[in-house]
Amino acid sequence: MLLAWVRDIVEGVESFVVGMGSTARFAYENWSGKATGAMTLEYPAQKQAMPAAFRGHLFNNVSNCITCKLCAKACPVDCFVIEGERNEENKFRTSRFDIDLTKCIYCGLCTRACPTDCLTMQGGFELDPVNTVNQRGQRFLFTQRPDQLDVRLEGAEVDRLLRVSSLKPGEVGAEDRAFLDRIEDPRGTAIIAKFGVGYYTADEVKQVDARREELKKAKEAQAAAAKAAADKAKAEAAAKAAADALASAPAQEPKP
Amino acid sequence: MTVEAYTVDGDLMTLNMGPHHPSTHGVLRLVLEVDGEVVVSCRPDLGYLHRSIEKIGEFLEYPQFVPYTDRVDYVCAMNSNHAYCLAVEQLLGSVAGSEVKIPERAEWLRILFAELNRISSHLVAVGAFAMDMGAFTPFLHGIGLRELVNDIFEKTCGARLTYNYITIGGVAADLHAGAEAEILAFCDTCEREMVRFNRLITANSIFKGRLAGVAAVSAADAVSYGLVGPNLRASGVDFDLRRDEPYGFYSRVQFEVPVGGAFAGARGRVGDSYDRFVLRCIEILESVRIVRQCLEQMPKSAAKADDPVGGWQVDANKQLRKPPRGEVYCRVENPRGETGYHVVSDGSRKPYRIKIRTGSFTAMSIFEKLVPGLMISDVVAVIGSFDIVVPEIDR
Amino acid sequence: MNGFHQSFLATAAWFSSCGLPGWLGLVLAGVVFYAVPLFAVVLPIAGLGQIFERKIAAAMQRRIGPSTTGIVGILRLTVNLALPWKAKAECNRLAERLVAFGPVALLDRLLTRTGVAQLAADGVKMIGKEDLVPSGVDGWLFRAAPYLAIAGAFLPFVVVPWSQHLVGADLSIGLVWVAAAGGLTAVAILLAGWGSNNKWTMLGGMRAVAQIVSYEIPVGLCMAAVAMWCGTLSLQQMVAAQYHPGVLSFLGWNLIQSPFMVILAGTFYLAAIAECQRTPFDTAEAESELVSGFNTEMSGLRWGMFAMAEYTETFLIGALFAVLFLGGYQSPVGEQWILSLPPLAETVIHVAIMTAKCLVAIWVMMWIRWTLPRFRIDQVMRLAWLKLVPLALVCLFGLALTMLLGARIEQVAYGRLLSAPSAQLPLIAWALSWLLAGGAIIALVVAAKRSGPPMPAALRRLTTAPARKA
Repeated sequence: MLLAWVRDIVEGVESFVVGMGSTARFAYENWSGKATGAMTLEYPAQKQAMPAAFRGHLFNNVSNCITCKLCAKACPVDCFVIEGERNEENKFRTSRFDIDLTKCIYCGLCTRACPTDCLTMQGGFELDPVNTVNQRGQRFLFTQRPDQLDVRLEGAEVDRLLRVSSLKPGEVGAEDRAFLDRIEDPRGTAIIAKFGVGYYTADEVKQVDARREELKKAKEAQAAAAKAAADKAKAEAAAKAAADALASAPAQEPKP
Repeated sequence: MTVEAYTVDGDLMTLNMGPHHPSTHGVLRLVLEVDGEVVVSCRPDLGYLHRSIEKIGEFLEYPQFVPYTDRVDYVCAMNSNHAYCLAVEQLLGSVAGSEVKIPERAEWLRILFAELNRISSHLVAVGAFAMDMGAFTPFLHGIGLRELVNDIFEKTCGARLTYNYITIGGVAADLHAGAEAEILAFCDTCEREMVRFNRLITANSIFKGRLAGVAAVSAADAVSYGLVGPNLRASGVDFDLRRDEPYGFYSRVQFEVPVGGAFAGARGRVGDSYDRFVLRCIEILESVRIVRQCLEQMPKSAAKADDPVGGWQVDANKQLRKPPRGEVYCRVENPRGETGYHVVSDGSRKPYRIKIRTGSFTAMSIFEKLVPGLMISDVVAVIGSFDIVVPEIDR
Repeated sequence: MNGFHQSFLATAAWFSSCGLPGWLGLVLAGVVFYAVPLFAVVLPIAGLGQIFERKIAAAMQRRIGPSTTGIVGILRLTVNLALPWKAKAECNRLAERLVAFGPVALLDRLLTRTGVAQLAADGVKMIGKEDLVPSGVDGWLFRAAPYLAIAGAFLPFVVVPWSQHLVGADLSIGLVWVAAAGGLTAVAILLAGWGSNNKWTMLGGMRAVAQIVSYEIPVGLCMAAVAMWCGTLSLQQMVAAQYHPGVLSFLGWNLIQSPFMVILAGTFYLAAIAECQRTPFDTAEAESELVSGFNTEMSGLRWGMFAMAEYTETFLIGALFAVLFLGGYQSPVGEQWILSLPPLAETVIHVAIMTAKCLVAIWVMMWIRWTLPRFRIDQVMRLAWLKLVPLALVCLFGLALTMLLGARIEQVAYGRLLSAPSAQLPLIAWALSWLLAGGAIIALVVAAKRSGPPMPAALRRLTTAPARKA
């Protein structure tokens, strides 16, 4: 019995010494910077390099998208809103490709389904609405639900939102307040809490702007031509009414 | 001390252990009736983490449910993926002509990753258990090792927790470049570090004293309560689906199935909490052995150039396939024991019913019998030693 | 130091002459002359202890620990307060420019990497928190508990000697005072546990009281044994009794006087850790069992007081351990030389040595905390009554026997063999006690180890390194 009592104590002391020894070794290895040392990454300062296969935010390269909607079919959470339309050259293209990142579970089924590999998962994982320009220069559109995607922000508006978002509540002026009210969720959720759903790269924004400008010019030119044609037709009609005999003269319709 | 030997004196106090309690591993609630420090009765209350995963399955196509199996037991998502995909493949194979052919390399990759995930799951289990017992250092060392597994997973399948890697008909991606060397290096590190881990905590006499003889489950009880996996084997029942009903390529690898044997010495009993803990530590080493064998035996490159990994999801055109009518129950050995997927198909693109059988659920049902007579601190030991993962209980 | 006490009395008299009652004057003067310096020394050290603990824990756990808080924030605050007429942004820019300045940057880096600046941030956070009193608590008890805890932690410091001249009060019953005043902590924890109107806190409080009361027995026995060995209860005289002339002054320390002393030191250390509720005996706090035990409902400064009390107590244990076993404030080498210095220099050196010894004791305590798992409450009690009390008793008797034999040897030697005092004689007695007692203990340990069952094969496999493949 005495021996058992002593043995209990001896075993306790032994395992205590072994344990203390191993923690001491851990501490020594940590301080001396060995392989089993500290594995902490001081995150915002040090960033981990994400592997190529990392399933981060979804990104769709719209120029390659054929609007087959296989991704939407593969998606288990229905986070895609995709619309297609025919453009002026009667070519089918994606007019709307929105991903609700609040729903996305980053499972990657959509990217496996994509036949053209235009839908990919990028390396980023940071979703900071204030600092939304990621490494690739992509920008988030601010909205919470796909049905509010009409509130699109591009170019200067995104910059403005970023500026306004970083202000403190007391520093937001009346004009900015109105701007925020206009783009804000009607339910009143703070804009800062919203997640982005889709990207445009800076280049794409430029392209879209240029294209829009082009279309605008074309439209104006068309309107001008139409007006000119109408004036001409009017004049001709007047001349016709006056002459009443020149019915065979062909009206020169401008080609749209 | 058993509850018969202990006579209740005076009033009892009802104590809500959970749902917000540091060591109920999530949101499990145990309603304890205590007399001072001694627990007189214990009633588990679940449902705080219910996400209707089984019901959701009825509204999704077969491949779409795979990401949800990640979330049934997020500590070992690979194994859950494996179980579900095996079930659907069996369903497809029940009628000639619709079988899926799984490439050989994909089969090896499946058990390779399942075993790696078993290691990481057991590391969490033993680490968190040590933390429940008040030793915080082993937990972080276990988690540190698990990070290495996660790094490998992340490079191959892109995620650290919800892998969605094993797909119906194969796996989602081939190993990344240099993966073999990384995995072998991990095996060495794991074996080396586990020795230090065990010297620090497993051999510790306070730890042994806390667990020896606590909540011992007899073999008969273990079987009748439906315990599975390490919890069952700790009670001395030598049963492992990987060996006894081999699925995948488990028949091609050699490994030992450890069983409980009162490891805590004089005060220990077969099937006590310490046995369950030690068993998980041994299984980590056995899994390392399996991982090594997988890497040795795996074809070094894809057998067929056109389809290195196989898989239903990989080919978009196959998405519209429908399994034949019928039902299938497929069970695999998860870190938390036998996990079964009962899939019923009515011939449409969506399953008629998916029923998931999980190890944690049955393990929790034995609490009501085990806990009375133990002390409050032992309740923590019981929860930890059965390696309860609450989302697996609730689904 | 006598002058110090004189001025204390003079101040008390001055307070009385201002019209205050005599006792109040004494109390106020005591606060000014004794309490404030004590707090000023012990509180920062206790606070630093917390930071070091976090750093040590981090090192053992493959982490870094506090590493980010620097002095930029403090500088910003200072500049903003100092230049109230300037714009906030301008002040902040100025502060950042200041931090970029060489020596300041060096200081900032030092404070950041060591985590010391974190102490200020934690303190400010703690003070700034809402003073939350949950509904249904017993208001008086809930509010009184933290103050009692602090009092219980600080009162024993009254008798702790820091140098030959620096001691609060060299009571002749010093050790008894330490045990009695330290017992206040048990009351504080019980009040906190009971008054919080929470089942977890109550369980924690009950556990703590049972544990503290039990562990006072082994602690008391250890103290009694040392007091017997040194022949005094006064801490100052106890230190003096461990004085050894010559270069190797550590030869006089109690710890190496006998193998029983070594066991006694271990017993005392363990029991003292248990008395201040630290891992592996933190059953009262037991964050994985009782949420946070007795201080579950404490927040902000109340919790801070408990935490401070805990770290102060670790400091106290270090001090007591040093006094009882490690020669108090005495240097391990060349104590004779230090004693010959002028009082001020002697005090400074001795305070430094004492602090170093305390820090080592605290450091070991932290090391233990991050190594061992926690006992169950019944095992804690069993350890006290079945292991530590018998061990302390055995050592007490062993020491008594050693003293008796030593005296007998001297008697015999001087009566029959020697006519004059000999320097070798104590040495022979010392060696004899080590040989006899140590031999007996080792024999017992070996016999006990042999009688045990072998290690299970599974455990041996787990704890031995895998064979290297060729």
